[in-house]
Amino acid sequence: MKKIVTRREFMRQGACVVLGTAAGLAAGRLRAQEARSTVVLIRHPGVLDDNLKIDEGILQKMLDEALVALCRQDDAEKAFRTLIRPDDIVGIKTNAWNYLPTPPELERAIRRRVLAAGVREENIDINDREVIDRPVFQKATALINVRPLRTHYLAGISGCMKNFITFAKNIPDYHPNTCEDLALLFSLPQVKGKARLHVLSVLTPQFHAKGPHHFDRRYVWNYNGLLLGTDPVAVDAVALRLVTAKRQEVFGAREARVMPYPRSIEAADVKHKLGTSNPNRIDLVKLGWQEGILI
Amino acid sequence: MRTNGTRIARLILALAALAPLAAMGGIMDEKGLTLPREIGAWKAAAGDQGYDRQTLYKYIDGGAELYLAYDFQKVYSRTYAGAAGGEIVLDVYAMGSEADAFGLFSSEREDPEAGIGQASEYGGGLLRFWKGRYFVSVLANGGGEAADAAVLEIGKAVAAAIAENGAEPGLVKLLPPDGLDRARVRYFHLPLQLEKHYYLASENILNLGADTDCLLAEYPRGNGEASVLLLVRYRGGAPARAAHENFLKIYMPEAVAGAARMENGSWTMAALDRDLLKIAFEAPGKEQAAALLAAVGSEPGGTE
Repeated sequence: MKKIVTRREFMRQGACVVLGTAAGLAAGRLRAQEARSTVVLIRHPGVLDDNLKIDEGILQKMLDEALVALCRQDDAEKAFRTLIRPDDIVGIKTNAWNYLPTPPELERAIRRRVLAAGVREENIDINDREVIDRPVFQKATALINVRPLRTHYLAGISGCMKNFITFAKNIPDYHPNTCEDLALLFSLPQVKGKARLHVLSVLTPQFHAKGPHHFDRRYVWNYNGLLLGTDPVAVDAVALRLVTAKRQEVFGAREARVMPYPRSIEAADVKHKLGTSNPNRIDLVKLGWQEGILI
Repeated sequence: MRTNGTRIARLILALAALAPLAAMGGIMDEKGLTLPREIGAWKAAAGDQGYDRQTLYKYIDGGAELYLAYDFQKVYSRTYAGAAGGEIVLDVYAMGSEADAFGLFSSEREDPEAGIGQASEYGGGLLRFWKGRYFVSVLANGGGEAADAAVLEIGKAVAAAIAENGAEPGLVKLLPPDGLDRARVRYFHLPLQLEKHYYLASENILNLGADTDCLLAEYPRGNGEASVLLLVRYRGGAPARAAHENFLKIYMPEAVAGAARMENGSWTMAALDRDLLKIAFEAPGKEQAAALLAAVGSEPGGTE
């Protein structure tokens, strides 16, 4: 029988604010696997100007430096070759949400590295909502997942796992219990075994929102960062920590927790064995600008 | 704001013909709401959109469940483009009832009142209000202060076009008025909404669903803390009793006379009045919890 976690258990731990973290710790205790995951956070104060224009050169360097750290190689091209082979057919799964899309500068930075890895231009595609029907995505041998981090009305947060929702033929199938089973997206034929890299843009993440379009400009802040990893669950777990920390800073402890609680992260670990949600088993490598890092 | 002459194109809309009219660029509902196509420097872009219960998923990412839970019927959406850039998105949601229009508005209310419709809020370029059986959202995306001003003008025009006011859910009348924060009264049906505002448990221990009417209200105590009152109206006494028993068993098995002291020092107390389950959370003492429950009004017509 599934264990019911009540509000009182968080009261016992002394702080409702750490709901997400506490649940992650619980997941870690339950999880049989002992795998560790690495997530790289890199930030740069100059990547955004006062008008939020992205310095594409700085962004490319951030991506490259993060890849070197993630893949433990000497340079970015070597690092990328550990993820992508020249004969791969590569789908770059982006996010076209009107209010906070994946920055085109970031799409281009990734595409440059895919080309530098020797992949032919015709074997690369960048898309969001038509991935099921696009030829490159249909025959893709590798997927790179890139999107901005934001809160989401139903899932709690929209992170790496949620970004593969457009591979589903019927999206509402993944909505029950606050999108708990998003990890199942990674078992779809177009996805299974193909996701090589997950990049969350935290240049301007969104930590709260409301209304039918779930966007409010007051709740987007300049964090000037990227989060990268090969484990989507670990990247999402770190992302949840970041959003929670920002909410605590702005709203205080009482409103810090992300609601609805993103059950998909813990479930992806404990139930679906897709990756690691336990913060004690995630090596978070922090590079670059440290001011206001929050986590 | 309504203006005259050629600057205003009026939209006479028929509910039964939503999709065809949407394609023609004019939709609304059976009452023929008339909305301006132009507000100052903001002009309606071509191609108004309409969505129903089957197609709402295509319009609002992930949020459709919330609207469907409030008996959403149709939404009319129009985008206004600014001469100097930016856009304003107007959404007019026709709900199945006035109570659900109120509920949808109440579900995310947190900003100051804007004085539009029956109740409203405005902040960060987003205006939300309800009137009659309509819930309305007007959102600026870019465009600066000029867009913010236009958002409010568009809102006023829509509110003026909706002729009739609606009644709040009957449960609201049962709330003890003393100390009630009226801006933090939430009306809903599904457990997800309870979780968003007062996380209770990882499972649906109160058996909430589309056929339950719920009200969550706060009674601030002036120190940043508040007592919380939850009312749930079930479809009959039997499901209410089952939920009451389940709540006591899972949430506070040690309760005496329906009350227990929580780990944070506050008191929780639950009581049943026919088909109405009443629970007080975060009360500073057992007596205060009991008093809050006792002050809940009694509504004739509760079914056994």
